[in-house]
Amino acid sequence: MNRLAVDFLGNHLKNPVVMASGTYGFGTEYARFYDPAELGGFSTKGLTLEPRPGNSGIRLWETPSGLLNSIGLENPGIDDFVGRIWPEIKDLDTLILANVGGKDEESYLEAVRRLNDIDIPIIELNISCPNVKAGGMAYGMEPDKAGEITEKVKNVSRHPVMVKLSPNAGDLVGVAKACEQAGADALSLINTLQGMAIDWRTKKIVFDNTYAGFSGPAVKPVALRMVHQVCGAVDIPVMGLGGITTWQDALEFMLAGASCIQIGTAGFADPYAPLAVIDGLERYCEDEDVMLADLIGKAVK
Amino acid sequence: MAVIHKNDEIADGIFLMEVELDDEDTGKPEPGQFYMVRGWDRYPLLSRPISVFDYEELPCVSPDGSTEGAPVTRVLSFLYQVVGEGTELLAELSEGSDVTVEGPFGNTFPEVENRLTLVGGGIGIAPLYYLAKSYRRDHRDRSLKIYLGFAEESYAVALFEEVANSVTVDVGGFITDRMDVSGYSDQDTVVTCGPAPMMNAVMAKIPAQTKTFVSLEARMACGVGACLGCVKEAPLRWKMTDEGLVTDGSVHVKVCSDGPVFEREVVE
Repeated sequence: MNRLAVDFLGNHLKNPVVMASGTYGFGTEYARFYDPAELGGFSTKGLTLEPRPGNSGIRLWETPSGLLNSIGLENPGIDDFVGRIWPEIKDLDTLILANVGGKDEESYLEAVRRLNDIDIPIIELNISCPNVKAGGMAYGMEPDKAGEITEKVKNVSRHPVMVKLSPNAGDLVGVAKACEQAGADALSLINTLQGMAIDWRTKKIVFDNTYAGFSGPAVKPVALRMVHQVCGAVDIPVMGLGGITTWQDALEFMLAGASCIQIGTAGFADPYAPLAVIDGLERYCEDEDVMLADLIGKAVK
Repeated sequence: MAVIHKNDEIADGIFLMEVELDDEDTGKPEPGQFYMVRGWDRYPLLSRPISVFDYEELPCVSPDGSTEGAPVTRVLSFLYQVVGEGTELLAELSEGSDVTVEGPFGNTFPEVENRLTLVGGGIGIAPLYYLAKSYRRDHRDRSLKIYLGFAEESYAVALFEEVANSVTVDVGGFITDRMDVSGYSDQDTVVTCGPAPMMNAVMAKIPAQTKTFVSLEARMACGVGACLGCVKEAPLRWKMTDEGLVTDGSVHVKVCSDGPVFEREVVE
């Protein structure tokens, strides 16, 4: 009996553990450690219509229990994904989400249109990347704008759309509701918190892009609070993420209402972290004699 | 997992750590590769990329003195400099402590059939020793010249002297001033690792027909090409493969998985 199985937008996942966009490449990088089919799924590196070189300068900065990154959506572009990468990964026995970013409305829509050519199960619409100057997070900061782009994307996409939300929005619950009303099939949160670093030795700002995205165990309580708030405000399913490192973290996000969880930064620290989470959840469900899916939202109902 | 055999400070802030690999899954390194090393549980968050200084498979000696059919002890060495929180913690570890060692990662130095020159600066000498040793093992009669530059004090020189035809050491000056490259041709290969200004000076000095490789370091989160935190600008957009240099259409090269070893044309 698989006690971890969950359904997400009509997809059967063997477990709720999904690797977060930007931390798992295109699914093959970690195959040297374990078969990606052991995962519930993974979300691709953020894709944009045109290839992007990403940001210049320092891109990583470690903090106490956290990580600042300023990658800036470096990716080979949607056509390379559709034509070259997708055929290589499509038969992996795990749920693959295509994470899509954009610099303006048309670039979002055209990228999404081109994904209509392939059978990607879910699009994760990234309106929350803090590391690009144009687009990105700008679409996720206000309910009106988030709703508008969601609606337009839904109109051109033949695939289900999960909108990835930014914790930097002033009215996160408002943004979440606006996305739901605009037709979003699901939500994922949180993307990284905006942070910065100054190197006291050089007296300079560390990142060329000044601000950077903050992730890792340090953000978990904030992420958990936000997942709890959003799950209480919408009826569509939510993937929860933000600092999840252990099976206990994962369970807490599900108790707060998340149907699935994503692991990001923890996989950098320990490539086997997702497997340890899966094992831990299995043992817990076995010991408690429960089905994991029955625990979704249990802390709030 | 691996167990520390020794972890000695061989110069100011420079440590030589030997670990015994006790996990079958941890592969055997090729010269130029690195491991992600951590000697702690959760904090600091990330493991540290450290290049292979040496690797040996030593037969275990049974009580009757024979080594036949005996399992081997796999000993991996890291030469590292204390530069921050992670390496400070590594330096505090004592014999018998456990460290987590994932890898090996990255590409390797090229197979060199002709004469080899190595130029290392400071802790940049670390990946060159295993290369020197492997080259000497495979080519007993070929020329191996080594130049080692240090800012304040030299270290590990005696090890290099055991395998090289000549070792030239400079302390406090410019190692490139000590190099005589007249007569270098396409029958020579140069490999360099050290501070960027030193590697640039090496690349500027070596004639164009002499193949020259650099080994880079970078901040890394994953070590396997997923996080894109370690990329370097590669104006020519080249990538090294088994078939040689090819363009792969990417604007950056990943130090961790495309490198850390690059032909000089890629990074010059």
